[in-house]
Amino acid sequence: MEQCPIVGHSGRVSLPSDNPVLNAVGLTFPADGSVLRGAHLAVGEREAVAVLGEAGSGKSVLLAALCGMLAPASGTLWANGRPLHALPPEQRQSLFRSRFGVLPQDCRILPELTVAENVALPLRLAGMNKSLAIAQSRIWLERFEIEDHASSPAAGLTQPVLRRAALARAMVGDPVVLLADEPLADLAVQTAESTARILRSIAVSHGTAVVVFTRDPMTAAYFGRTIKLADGRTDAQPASPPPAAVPLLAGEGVGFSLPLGPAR
Amino acid sequence: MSPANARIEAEPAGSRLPVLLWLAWRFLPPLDRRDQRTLMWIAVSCGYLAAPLTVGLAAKHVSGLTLLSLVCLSAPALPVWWVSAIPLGERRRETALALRQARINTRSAAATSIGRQLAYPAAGAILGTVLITVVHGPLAHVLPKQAPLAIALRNSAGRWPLAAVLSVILLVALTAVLSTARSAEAYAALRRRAARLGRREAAPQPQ
Repeated sequence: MEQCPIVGHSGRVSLPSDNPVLNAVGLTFPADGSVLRGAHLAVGEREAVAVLGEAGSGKSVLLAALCGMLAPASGTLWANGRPLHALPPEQRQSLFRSRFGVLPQDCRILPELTVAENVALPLRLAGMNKSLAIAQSRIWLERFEIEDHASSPAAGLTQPVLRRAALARAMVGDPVVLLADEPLADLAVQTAESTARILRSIAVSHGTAVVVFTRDPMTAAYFGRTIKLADGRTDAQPASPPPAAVPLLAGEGVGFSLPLGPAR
Repeated sequence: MSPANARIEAEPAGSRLPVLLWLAWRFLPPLDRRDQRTLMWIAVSCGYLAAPLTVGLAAKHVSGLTLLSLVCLSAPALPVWWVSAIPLGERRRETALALRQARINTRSAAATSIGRQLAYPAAGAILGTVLITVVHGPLAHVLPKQAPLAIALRNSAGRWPLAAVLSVILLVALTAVLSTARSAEAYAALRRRAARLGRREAAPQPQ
């Protein structure tokens, strides 16, 4: 098994990626900044990053802002050179669905379906036929080392298996960015190590930017770089937006300080 | 085939419909014993309540005494109905959440997960209304002439089909209301209050 690099986060923080796939600059929520106040996050291709913060530091809100579930009061968000903040909500949601994989902390798997059917669901909804989608899902189940459970109903499976299945479901659409909230919580040390190893190897092999949100320094240490989040602020420096970025909608403003929409 | 080939593109809405229908079909059968019990009780209570509700809706004029007798007739099923509707709603909300996590939008997730919440109360209510529609004639003869239910049955000429449809719709809609999170909170608060009262009564009295 690959040795997990236990790297202290003290020496590897605050280094924005040179060519970020995901670049959030100055995210603030709500308008008074009581939860997020100018959070920066830049993650490059093939990079696995941990966002480390105590409970109440704004992790969940940052994740919600990054995956489009919440519109920050101000700040900009670029993904793959596209200014997501400049898109209308429907287009932004559609882009998030197609380019982002999300593993929420309270990840749910449909107990009525088998594990393979659960993982294949995003592909089937995207129009892929059943047999092809199931074959694709089995590749990911093998990757996450749970292929033995592919045909088992999800009801009654253990939490570690379900969590890996949820990770496989998040990755099956081959997203550009994977956002995972406490993906190793409640896992035994050995399972946590192997899951972290798989996430790191996916980042490298698929060019996916992996962002893990955690409150546990040990979990953060499994990943290449750690960004600390405290009181709604990250210790990362803002990275430059891609200079040649083209807005997806003609006539939409592009650039910094463009509000993402009304704060909810 | 590489997993990298599977990038999800913006999908046409039409291609999702068969998958959503397949999902709705898969959610219908009970998952385990507990689920089976919940669904059975919800269907039984709706079936039972359909009878007094249909009689009440079919009557031309409902006197105070008749209304009271219909409420008393309904009373045994009301707690069972409420208690069974709460897990039904919890299950629907969990299913909708899991669907949203599988990249289904909120509206489609809600529509796909609501199937069992409609199907089981509707099945029970339809059975109950059919039964009362069929037996209301003989029942009116069997009951004593002055019985409130017999008076209501005699007053209900001609409106049975409409009353049957209305009572099914009402029972399904009220089951949906009883299965909301707010209803579950109200039930939990009621139980807490009842438990507190029980403890107070059980406390040793000063001599």
